[in-house]
Amino acid sequence: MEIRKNYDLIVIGGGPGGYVAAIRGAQLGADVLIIEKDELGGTCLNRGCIPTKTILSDVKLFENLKKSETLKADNIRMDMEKLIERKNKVIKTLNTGVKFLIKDNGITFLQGKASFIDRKTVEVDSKNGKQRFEGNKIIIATGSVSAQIPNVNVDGKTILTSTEMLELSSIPKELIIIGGGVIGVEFASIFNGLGSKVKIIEMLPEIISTEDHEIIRGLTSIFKKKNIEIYTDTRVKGTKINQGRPEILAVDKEGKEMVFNGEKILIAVGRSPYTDGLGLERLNIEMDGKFIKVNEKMETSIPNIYAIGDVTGHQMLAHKASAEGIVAAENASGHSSRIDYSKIPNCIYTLPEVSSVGLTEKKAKERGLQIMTGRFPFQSNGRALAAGEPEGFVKIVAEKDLGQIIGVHILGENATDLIGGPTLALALEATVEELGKTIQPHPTLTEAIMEAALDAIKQAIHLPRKK
Amino acid sequence: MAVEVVLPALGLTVEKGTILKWLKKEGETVSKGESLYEVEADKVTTEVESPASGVLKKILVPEGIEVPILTVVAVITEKGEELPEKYLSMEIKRTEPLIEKPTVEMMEPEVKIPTVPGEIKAVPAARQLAREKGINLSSIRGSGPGGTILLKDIKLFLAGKTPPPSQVFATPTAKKMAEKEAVPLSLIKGTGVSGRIMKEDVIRAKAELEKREEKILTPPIKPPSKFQLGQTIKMNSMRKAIAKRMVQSKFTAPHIYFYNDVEMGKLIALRDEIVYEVEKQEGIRLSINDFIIKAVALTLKEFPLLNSMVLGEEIKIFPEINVGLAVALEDGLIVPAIPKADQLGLIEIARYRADLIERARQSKLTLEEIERGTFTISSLAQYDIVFFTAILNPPQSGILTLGKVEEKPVVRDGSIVIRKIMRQGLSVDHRIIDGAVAAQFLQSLKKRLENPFLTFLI
Repeated sequence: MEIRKNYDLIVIGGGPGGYVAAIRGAQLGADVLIIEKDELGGTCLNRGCIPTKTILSDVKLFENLKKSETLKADNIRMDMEKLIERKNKVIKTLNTGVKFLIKDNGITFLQGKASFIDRKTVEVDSKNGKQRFEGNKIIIATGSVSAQIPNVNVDGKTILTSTEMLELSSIPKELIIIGGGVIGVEFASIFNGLGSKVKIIEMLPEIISTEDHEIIRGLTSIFKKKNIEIYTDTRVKGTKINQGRPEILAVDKEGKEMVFNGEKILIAVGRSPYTDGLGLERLNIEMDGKFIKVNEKMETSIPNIYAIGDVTGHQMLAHKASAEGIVAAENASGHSSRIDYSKIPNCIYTLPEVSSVGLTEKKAKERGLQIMTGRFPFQSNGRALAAGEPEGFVKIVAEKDLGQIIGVHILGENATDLIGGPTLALALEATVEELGKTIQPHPTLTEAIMEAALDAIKQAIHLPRKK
Repeated sequence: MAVEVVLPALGLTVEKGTILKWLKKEGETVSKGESLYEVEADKVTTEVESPASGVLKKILVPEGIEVPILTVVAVITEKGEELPEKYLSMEIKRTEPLIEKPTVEMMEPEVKIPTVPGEIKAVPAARQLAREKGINLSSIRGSGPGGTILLKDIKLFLAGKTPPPSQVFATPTAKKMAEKEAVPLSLIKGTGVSGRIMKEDVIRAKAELEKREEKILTPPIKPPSKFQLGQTIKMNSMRKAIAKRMVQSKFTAPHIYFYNDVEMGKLIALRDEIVYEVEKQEGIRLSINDFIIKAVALTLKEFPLLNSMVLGEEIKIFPEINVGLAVALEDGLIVPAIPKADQLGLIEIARYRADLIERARQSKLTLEEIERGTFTISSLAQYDIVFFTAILNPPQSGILTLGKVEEKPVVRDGSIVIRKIMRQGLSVDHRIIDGAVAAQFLQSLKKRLENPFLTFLI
């Protein structure tokens, strides 16, 4: 088989890591080939971030209409088919946008499945048959798939992963979610809002366990108020189908056996790196467990091969993958860039939302840092009350000596949009003084961030006096 | 006599510099202080002055070549003097085509600091041109290290081009930390976006400074790994002398020992405040030990009995106060002394200290330097020793020991506060010095160290 073409840069995977790397590479003058087996945009655009948020925003409207004291609408119902249709339309619009950017940057896009032949050559199986390409530099950005657990068989009908959940045409009466991580709690919010009876089974002592404890406590109590049942310290042993209904067998901390049954079961136990058929075995590449091992320049153990995004582990976030994509593309183009994982924000799209950047109070203490904390509840924020969203709070963790902000945690309305400012504050090494004394517009939710910063130095205006 | 022109140390982390341009040609007459060449290091360009007046006899490093700092780049001779032969072999010939460097005007210095009002730094050539053209230096922003005004800044000004605004880019946290740790921002190389100084940069610069400090105070000594278990070693002459003198001291002079804690915060702050300026102006880095030497000398003047020796049935008070410094060597210990330390300024003390320690390690001390001591100071701070007991260095009657300065919780006005504490110890010969006298000496020394302005300004 002849080699069709030599590229400066080949990117395998067209998700938020891969396509961003391809564009950055092209900006820096590289002749780029991007290979994607499915659709550009990857899990994020097609099966993750974007579709869930589209659905969530309709669910939020639905939930608000139902609970509104002033808007009186009888018989409001969610048209699931229309909802899925709208979701698909959003995906299509964004997908067209990415395709345009790829074309506009002069990048060659090939739809097909890639496999390494050797350290420089990639074979692509596409509708035009098999072709080989040589790349001076290659970026692996193949992403991840839903993780599985033993004794639980995903059948796509009653036991589902997030992918199938997004295609449901009717609202299940009961939904049991295995896994109380980010994906689990987001789906819990969506289907609770749609009217399903939702139960979450979590193996660890807490849901969203990487977040700050006060945030976890806050979200847990909001969930309970919404009648979402949470079973922590509970381990799933297996599933079976009993008279057409799926059943989950689990044991709690004391070893007591429990049986859960409901119309649908969602497996949301995280994601596994996707490297099937990639031919990594032919490269003798160094791995870190199931993940491809990389350094802070996104270099793998093999010269001229980089890896980014979910396939490298760490936080499995689209924006982290994009940031890594830029770093890899710049290094592949002869620049010297490094990734800094300490200031990557986390977002959880529940109702209300959760967001954070930097260290939790516990993590900061574990590192032996002397810290101070500040809090401000949305209950005391004018805009939050006006919007009918008084739940949640902002918490700030700052280093005591210099006042450097090292962590910001938000639970509440629009938390994910609010974290942008604090992320910049961390990146610029701002202290509580700057964050507290920067004038914020009134009335807005951002005032809560300013007040939380002031609270850390006992200067919050709209809080009872601190002694 | 031929004078070597060396590439100066251009900054804290700078190891190499590239000669951008020779401002004088070989054979041209130069005067001391005149700009001789332009050098670029870490993207900052600066002009280097001629160290002497004479003829630029030979340029050893051509333009566009990068060399380590302290490399001899040229030789200046007196008129009519021949170039000493040894320099001929030192010339670096350009073998590769010169890499095109961006022109000086286009380069933006990475770190800039605003000029401090009342203190304008400018290279002499810039000063001269400004004077000729009647330009007020304060209206010009310097682009050299530390905001120094370079010749090109004046030229740019004359051409009607204002250099980019001078500003230190540092994050709020980095600024606070730099202030707290007394690390001048102008010495820090920023690694953030557009050279912004980040907290990590300050931490790195501080470590760098401390490392430098340690090197100056106490050059590392190799551990005595040459010894092996079961080995019998013949004492060398130094070891024999130490052994003999220690026995003589311990068995003739009954030792008594005293300790007190000294709050070092103010003294350290004073030293940190002036150290960079002094180093820039005087080329010597003041150490805390220099202040202690001076304070000890002043206290000895107040208590002459501590500066004496037993001679038969007489107490002989030494006519001079010569403070000895115990210097650890690979094979032993030696105590060179700074003469008349009570009459010397801090900078002179620092020069003596640096020179004596350096030559002690090279075994190049004179007998006089070793024997003139009238009192000894011994510090084991570098080994994290909190306090220790020393044996008198005969015929002296007093020896001061210094422990490590540590932040410790202490009670002041009923509250627990953190203070920088050093424990000092004093051993004296009880035959002639009573406990109360020794205690008063130590108390007086403590007061001097704790009130540095009073001690060193008046």
